Amino acid sequence: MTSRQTPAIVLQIRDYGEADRLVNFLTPDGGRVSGIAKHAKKSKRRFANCLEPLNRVIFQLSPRPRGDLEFIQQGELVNPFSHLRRDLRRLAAGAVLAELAGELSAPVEATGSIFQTLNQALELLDGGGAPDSLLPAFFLHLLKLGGYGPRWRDCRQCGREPAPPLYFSISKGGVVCSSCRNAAAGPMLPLTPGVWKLLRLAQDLPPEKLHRLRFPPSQRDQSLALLQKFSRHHLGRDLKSWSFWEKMTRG
Amino acid sequence: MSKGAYPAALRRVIAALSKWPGIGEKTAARMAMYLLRAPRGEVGELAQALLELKEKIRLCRRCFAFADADLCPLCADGERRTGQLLVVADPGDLLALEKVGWFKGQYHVLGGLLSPLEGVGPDDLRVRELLERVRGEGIQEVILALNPSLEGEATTTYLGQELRPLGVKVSHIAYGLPMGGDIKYTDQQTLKEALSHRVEA
Repeated sequence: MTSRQTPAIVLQIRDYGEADRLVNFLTPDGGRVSGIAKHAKKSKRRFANCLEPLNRVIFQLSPRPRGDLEFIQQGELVNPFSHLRRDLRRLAAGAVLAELAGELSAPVEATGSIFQTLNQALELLDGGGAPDSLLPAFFLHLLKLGGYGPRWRDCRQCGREPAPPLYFSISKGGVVCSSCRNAAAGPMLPLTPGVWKLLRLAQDLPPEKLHRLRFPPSQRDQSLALLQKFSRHHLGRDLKSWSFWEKMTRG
Repeated sequence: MSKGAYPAALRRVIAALSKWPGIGEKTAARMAMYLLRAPRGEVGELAQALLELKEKIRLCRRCFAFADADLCPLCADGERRTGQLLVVADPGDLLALEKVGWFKGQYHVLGGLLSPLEGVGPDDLRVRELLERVRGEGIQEVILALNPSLEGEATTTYLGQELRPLGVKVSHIAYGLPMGGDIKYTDQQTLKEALSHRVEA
């Protein structure tokens, strides 16, 4: 049976029977993959410190004769992003981005960019980057890579350049001008010009420049509320890690 | 399981036992056969013990460990009110630490760990109860004995932030090499932790 090596970012671990573990991870070539790590609870050498959420690792995989799960033969830790564990806001931001990246494992041609972008975001957060700015900027960027990028330049209803007061149409996935507000169906959120500009910029910038963006608290809150509602509508559910982010940033 | 092989009563026991963790259908069948051959008294005692387990075992009002009364034996023991509180994630960890026999104070069972990717936050654990105990029971030191995993370390970080303003000493158990370990076979992350948590010789 042929085995292959792949870089991976671990997303989720679950116990599977007495000794095995079921691992969900993101790869550059295959997007989100599920694998079974046999005897992982007992084998400290084959999986030394590897099987932890958000770890960047190299997995040795072999396909199973039947079923979708791969066998994870062994793993090697590349980066545990260990500073995140001592800063809960950064950890929460990393968790939201990792969960989103896992949800956006299709289309196949984007999985490499999604993996690299998540890795970049985790490195920046681990290096002390501001989670308040990195979270909305990278969230939007990941949405774009996954094919869900909102349209900011022209009104989704009339196609003209929008003038304030602006609105964001959740279902149409873009900005709507005030005169089209009533004609556009579905839920609508008010959008301040400052947030509009910031989100437009965040979506256009390459990921290596996203750390330069600064989201002041009010613009961060409005941006995150918009992105949360938008992703809930299009993914069909709320990301579980949003609630952890909210709990860690409350008060 | 094929329907014809065993009588219905036996099938029912096998089906019930194979729901247990680590028990497959074959093992469940072996256990059922053993019960079938065992004296009636032994089987009755097992059935009675299982019923009592469900009826009598509850969580201690104070520390949330398993108890068969309002307070668990450790909380009911006045000599263990030393001002030290050891925080663990679940009752299994408490039993492992208690077996060591080193700690003479009281425990607090959180009922889990923070889990960012599962959305488990402080409100889902017994953090509020811990803070109330620290304020109300004259606690001077809180020792956090949580696994050195992402969830465990995140919980340690969170509890440290919440407990320090209360004026108590907060420590966590050491991370690093296991007893009998070998440095050259130890992974880099563990060695890094062992070096950063070094103690004076």
